[in-house]
Amino acid sequence: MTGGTGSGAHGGITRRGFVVGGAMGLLAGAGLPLGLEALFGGAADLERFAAGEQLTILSGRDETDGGQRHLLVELWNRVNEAHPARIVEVSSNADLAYSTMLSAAQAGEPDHDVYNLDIPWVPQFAQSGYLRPFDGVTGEGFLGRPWAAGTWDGAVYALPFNSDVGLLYCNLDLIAEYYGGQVPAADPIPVLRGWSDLDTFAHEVFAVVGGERPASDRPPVDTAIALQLADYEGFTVNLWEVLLGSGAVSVDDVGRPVFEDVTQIERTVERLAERLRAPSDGSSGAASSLAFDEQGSLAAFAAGRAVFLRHWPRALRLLRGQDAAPFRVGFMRVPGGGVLGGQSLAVAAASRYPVAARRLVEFLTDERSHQVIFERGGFAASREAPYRDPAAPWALPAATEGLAASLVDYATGKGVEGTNDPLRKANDALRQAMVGASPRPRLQHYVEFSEEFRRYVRAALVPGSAAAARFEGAELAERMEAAMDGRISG
Amino acid sequence: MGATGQPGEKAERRDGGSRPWWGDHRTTVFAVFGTVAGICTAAMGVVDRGTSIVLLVVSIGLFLAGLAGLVRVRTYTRWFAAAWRWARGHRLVVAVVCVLALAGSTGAAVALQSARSCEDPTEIAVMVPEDGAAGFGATADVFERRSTTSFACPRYHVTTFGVGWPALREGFESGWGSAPGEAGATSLELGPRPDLWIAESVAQVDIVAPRGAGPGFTVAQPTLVAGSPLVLAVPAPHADALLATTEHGDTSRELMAAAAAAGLDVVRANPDASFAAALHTERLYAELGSGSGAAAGSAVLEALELDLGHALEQAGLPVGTDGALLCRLGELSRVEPPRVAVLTTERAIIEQDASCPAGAGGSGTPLVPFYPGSAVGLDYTAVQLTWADAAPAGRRADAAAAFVAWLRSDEGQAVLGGEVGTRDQDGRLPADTGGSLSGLQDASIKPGASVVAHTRVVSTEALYRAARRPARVLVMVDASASMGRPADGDRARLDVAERGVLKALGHISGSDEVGIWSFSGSAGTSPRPVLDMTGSEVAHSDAPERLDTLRPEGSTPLYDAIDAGTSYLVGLDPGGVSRRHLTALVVLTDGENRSGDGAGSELTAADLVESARAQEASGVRVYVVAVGEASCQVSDLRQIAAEWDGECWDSSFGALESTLGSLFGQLGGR
Repeated sequence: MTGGTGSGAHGGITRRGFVVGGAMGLLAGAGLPLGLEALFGGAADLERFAAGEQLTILSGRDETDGGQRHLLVELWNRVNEAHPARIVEVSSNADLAYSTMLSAAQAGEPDHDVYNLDIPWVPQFAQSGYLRPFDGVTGEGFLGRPWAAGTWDGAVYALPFNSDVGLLYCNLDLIAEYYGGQVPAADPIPVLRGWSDLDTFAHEVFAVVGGERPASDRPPVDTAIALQLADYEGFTVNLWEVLLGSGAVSVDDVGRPVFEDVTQIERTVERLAERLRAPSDGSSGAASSLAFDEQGSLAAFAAGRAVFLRHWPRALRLLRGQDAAPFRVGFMRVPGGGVLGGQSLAVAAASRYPVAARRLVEFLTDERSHQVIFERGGFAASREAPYRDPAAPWALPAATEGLAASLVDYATGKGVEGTNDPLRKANDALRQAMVGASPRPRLQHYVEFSEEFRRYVRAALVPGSAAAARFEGAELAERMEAAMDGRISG
Repeated sequence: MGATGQPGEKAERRDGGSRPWWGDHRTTVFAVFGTVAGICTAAMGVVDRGTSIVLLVVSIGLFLAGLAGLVRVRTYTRWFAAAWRWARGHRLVVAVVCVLALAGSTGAAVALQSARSCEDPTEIAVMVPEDGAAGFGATADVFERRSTTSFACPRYHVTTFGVGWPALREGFESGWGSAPGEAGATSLELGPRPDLWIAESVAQVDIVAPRGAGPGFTVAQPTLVAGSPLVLAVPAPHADALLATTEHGDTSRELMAAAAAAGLDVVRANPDASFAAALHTERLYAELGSGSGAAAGSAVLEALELDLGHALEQAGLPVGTDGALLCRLGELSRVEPPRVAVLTTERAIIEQDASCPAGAGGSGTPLVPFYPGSAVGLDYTAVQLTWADAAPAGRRADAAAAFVAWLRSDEGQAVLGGEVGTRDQDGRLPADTGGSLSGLQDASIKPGASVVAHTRVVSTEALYRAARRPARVLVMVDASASMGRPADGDRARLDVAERGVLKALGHISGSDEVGIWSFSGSAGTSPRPVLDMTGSEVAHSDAPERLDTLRPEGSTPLYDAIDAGTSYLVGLDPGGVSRRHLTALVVLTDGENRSGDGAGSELTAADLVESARAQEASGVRVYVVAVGEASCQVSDLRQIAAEWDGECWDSSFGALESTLGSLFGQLGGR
């Protein structure tokens, strides 16, 4: 192809030769990835396991009702005897679980084939090369937000296992008591304008029903809204929801938090700090939220001490049924949208058996598995189908006798139309909450972001702390900008 | 000129002379090299990260080689020679351009690096003592913030977690999850396998890793980072009397005698729960034996343990860890500081109530330390660990070594002192104490100067086990309907609770006694005996069958159950503070009080608090283990337990066995 004959020959290369060679190069460049994909990246045979070898899933504690994750892995083992799997559970404390998984990933430990990651960790693990991308999978059948949480930089790194979304629970008996038999026919819990409406209404109710009531046989109410504000990841989630619901912060198209409205941030934090400082007649009081984690806040609400509770979907099962909360429980979306939570499964880059690991992940995240986790485990599903299945109720039946019609709506599922079946309504209400969930900040350095957020904002909320007087929205924005890139500030 | 501008070559070709091989095949070379480069680039998508980097380098090399195939080498040579000639004639211009280019590229590199996200910091897990864990966490935080790159990126992310001495000992004994099974799983619930352990003494290291190794792990050379002497601490309002009757060099026994003469009861945490208490015990037992020239007799040690136990009950203090004891002392001191002298550490005095849970501690009454002449103390020792079945630690090991080096630096020592309340390696007190504490100050106390051998600690444990007060424990199991919910796999909550109780009974031995009751339904028909109070051997044999009869039903008459259980225990031995047994009610519940109907349904938390203050109730403790929808964070349970000289422990069902094990370990022993 060199030494061409006609015009266009320049030095040692002809124009035709250059064009033909270039075209071949381009064809090779474009075509070979497809060939290689077929060769290496497509469906491949499962690896052959040595005797005693197992796939290992590194995971936080299984908090589904009845340990459904374990049961699903047992099911996999029954149908894949040659490729058995096991779950290694690490600490139920999210910070310790993160440390365990990150240490394993950074060391490239081949003993761990699958990570069950909290969704905020996915970008870091993906960006750092600790995960294998799932080539050729689609999000068909999955809800958009949980699916997107497993993607990073245009590739899919994790498939949703179980989802979570912040929900707002309310003690309907206390709401009814507040209205004194005159419950409005429409919108008895007015939260249209977001968190500030909820805060105002909750404290109006608390002012009427709170404190010791010697004549009443119900427990004293000492908290308007039970939040999880102890010094752990739950604080970031709760405060982020409060700030989102107040319109003080937002998340841009790529999941990066935006802290532009510093005035609104200051106003929201100051108002919350005031609430937490307020004296209470009760034995725990408003400031108790600063000590609450999920278990503490749920216990306070279940004991009838709080008007509202911010929690996850699994709380509804615990609040209903035999020997559960001695009052009617309603639920709704967190004003402004609850934050998305949950775990996604990812194949470790260092896995010895990446093909089998991928099959295991696909098995654990298929439609049937999500149905099991939804129906039996009490967790929100990341797929559409379980919500549509009338035979798979997420919620236990609600007690509604004697409740005003407008409050019944909250007991069965606020805002759902087109069905009178209370269990279908609950399914759909949860689906709506999932679809309308606020995206969690998606950052490579989410952990640094969350730790710095907690360090600065929580100090401002602790009653009597010197930091409360020094809180500035602009400084928070500055600190967060640095933390989002993983930098130390201040 | 052609593409290469080589007229001489053209002439050569026309003459039909030989041409270099690349002259004929340049396009082929380009195509082949380009194709191979394309293959390498495409393969990057399906290999791991390390191989991708290699492939990228190979691709670039091949691509450049392909380009070189298109242009003759001699052309490059001629271009270079011309450029060199020009540069030699314009040296100033070249110098200026070089400087500008260097400055520009440096500036661009800095700007690019500043705009980039930081790299992943190296994660290290550091296990620290339970007492002082918050301070160690704050210290690690400072280390993270100090150890940054020029672009403010942290090099390390340090996760600290506090683990009590008995729990970490069990964790190490089980290999910390290296073997599949329950023991390993329990260890992982404590936290990740530590890369670094801040032990309270080199004796601890020798106990868990004799000759530098334990099951599945090895330890590196221990490095002393700080210390804190053992002290006898007295609330400031009661210290003057002791100051007048003690002097430098007094032994622990002499200080205790002086305290007793001043009307102060000496108390100590549980040696099975607190290593500081274990060291105090070693000193006390040694001093008791030294007078007679032999080991103290068992009767003497039993009498000592009985006195220490009664003193705790007299003051209304818990029998657990050093931290729990001091937090409760702080709470009680809000009204009036109890007349006690506490065998504790200088660090605990300096920290005061900083680590207490919300609502506990906070008296503001300082404690005055009195230093025994033995100068024994906690010697905080950093130990790097290597796990046999883990990948080579590499960067984690380097990070752990960097942390230890920083802890030993002047800055690290100052931060440790300020956050944890320890003395530095030279024995200097933290700066914020003003360099000295009141009491019998001994400036010569230096960490590591007086070490207790691990063999002495182990032999003292055996003596303590024989001398400790026998336990009398009534276990009250919630059998309400909610305990029928699924908890763990196909097991119900009640199944998990039963299993936890059975395993915890392993801590009950010898002359200990145990009974099991259940509560559910309405107050009028609850609680019900499952196993009457009996000796440890009978309990071990009968409890499994008896517990198996429990069926979840009804509501949760919790307060009625606590009232009935405490009344029963008080009635067994109306002697109040003089009772021989360490007497405790352990209540396991997954919900708040819902008492139904019948006698006892009217009981409130305030009633239980009131009954705890009765004279005859002294010596009966109440421990609550809250799971599910119960929580110690809802203050009634915590307050009830505290008033009954016990504690409230939150747990998940997954961690219930470990929680009950730790609790029974405090009551019955390891």
